[in-house]
This record gives sequence, C-alpha cells and structure tokens, in this order.
Amino acid sequence: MVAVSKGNQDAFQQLLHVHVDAINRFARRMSGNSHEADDITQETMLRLWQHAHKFDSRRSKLTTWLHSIARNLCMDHHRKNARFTPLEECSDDLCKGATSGGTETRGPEINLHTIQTESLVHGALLSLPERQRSALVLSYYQQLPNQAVAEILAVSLSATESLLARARRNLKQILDDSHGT
Amino acid sequence: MVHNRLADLLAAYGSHIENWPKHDQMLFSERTDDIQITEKFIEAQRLDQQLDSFAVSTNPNLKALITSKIKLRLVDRFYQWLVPNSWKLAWQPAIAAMLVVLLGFSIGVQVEQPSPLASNWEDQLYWAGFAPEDDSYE
Repeated sequence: MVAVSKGNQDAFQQLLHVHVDAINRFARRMSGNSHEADDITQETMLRLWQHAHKFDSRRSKLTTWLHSIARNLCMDHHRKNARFTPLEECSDDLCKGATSGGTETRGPEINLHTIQTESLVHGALLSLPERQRSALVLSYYQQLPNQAVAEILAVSLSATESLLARARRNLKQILDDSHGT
Repeated sequence: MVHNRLADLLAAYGSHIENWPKHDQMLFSERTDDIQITEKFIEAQRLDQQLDSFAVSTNPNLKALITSKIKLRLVDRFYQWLVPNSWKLAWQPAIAAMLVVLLGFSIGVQVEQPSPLASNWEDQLYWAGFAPEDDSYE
C-alpha cells in the first residue's frame, strides 16, 4: 500500500488482481444491475489508487476498507436511482456464474429451475433493508469475519449478529412466500 | 446456555459452521444429540442451499478498464499533490507557489520596460518637438 500511495502502478496491479473480483461480486449482489456493479467496482479500485495514502493498516484490513468504500458507493447509487433496478438482468449475464460449469449437461427444465431460484434469491436479497442485505452479503457471501462486518456497518458485534439473524429470517419469509405463490 | 447460543448462531450464520466465529465453532459438536438444534440446523441448511444457488459472475475486462483509467488520472494525482489533506505536506503547495513567483519574476525581468519619458501621448508630442527635422519626405 505504501508503494501504491507513491504511485507505483505495478503494486496497484497486484492489489487489483487480488481484490477486484471479490469487490465486483459484492457489488453485483448488492445492486440489481451488472453495469452499475461494474461502475461501483471501478470507482472503488480507483479510490484505492487515489486515496491509498489515507489507508491506515493499524485501524483496518485492506479488504474491510475496500468493502466499506464499495458499500458506500452502492448506497450512493441507490440514492441517485431512488431504488435498485429489479431483476431483469439476473437471468442473463449477472447470474452466469451460478450456472456456469455444467449447465449444458443438465436438462432445460433443471436449468430453468436454477435460473428461477437465482432470480428469487436475488429478488429476495434486494427487497431486504440495506443494512440487513449488507450484513448478509458481507458475512455469508464475502465471508468476512464478524469484526470486519461490524466495522463496515459501524455497529457492535452483537448488533451485527442481530442484523444477520433478522436478514435470514426475513429472507426465509420472502422466499417461502414466493414459493407459495 | 449452550443451546441458546447455538440457536442464535444458526439463526445468524446458518449451517456452514466454518462461517461461525472461531471460538463458537466447537459448540456444535457438543450438542449433536439436541433434537431442537438439529431441526434448526436442517432449517438453516435449506435456506443456505437457496442462498448458495445465487452465484454471480465477474466482469473479466474490469482489470484492463481500471488500469487504463489510472493512467488518465495523473492530473488528479498532481491536484492531490498540490492540495494535500495533511498540514505535514503543506510544503508542497508552498513550493508550487514559490515556483510560480520565481517564474513570474524571471519573465518580468526579461520583458523590456517602456521609456518613462513617453508614457502618454502628450509626453510623446512634447519630446517630438526636440527631435531633429527629417527632410526625407520632401
């Protein structure tokens, strides 16, 4: 990070290689739109390049710092757009990762079922309140430790656990309701 | 006590025990015979299976896009150098300001000053009266 703050592009390339995909996956799960998620990822990594001198390794880990920036950008985009774009893209490019590696060998019905489940889960995630969604995505999908999630959300550890429990309870309710309809 | 904590852990983190806080991971092996906990575990597992189905792809072109943008943003880095956030770096704008002053001074020295005797048209007419007569037009 010291090298990046001095403008070393090779050092930045190394950090980019390590973090860009994780931040992109986070942004794609947090937003409903792959283009918006890609913009957020680019902006996050450019802020790393521009504000590397502000990063204090004694206070937090780089992963935590980057996720924090990405989450703030997601919230900014959300405010600008008033609401997240719904699921029109989930069945094509956004969810390709879920179906990659073997979709061709499965039957069309199973494939359709997988895509429907992905869309349902994504829709359910997007309908959660922002803090619950952030807590769940950071903890479950990004597999950040509790301490890091608490730091990003600026809450205590017990409040983080409470947010996670509420997120899972609400998600289960939404998914049960959508399966019932 | 352990029962309640396990219920809380399953509610918050789900059935992937490796995602639980490190110090709590051993608790689950202590209560494998607890029917209520087993039911909660199966319930959490069902939700986890649905969550796991939502995997996302990443954009493979992002690295190249970002790399091309950092090269364009050297102007931004110069601006950051010029207007630092810390007082410790106040010497940077001071140096920049000094360079501008020195540059202005050196340009100013090189520019030829107009004669103070002919600063306006009345003075020019006055001094023209002392000039020798020029007969070349006759």
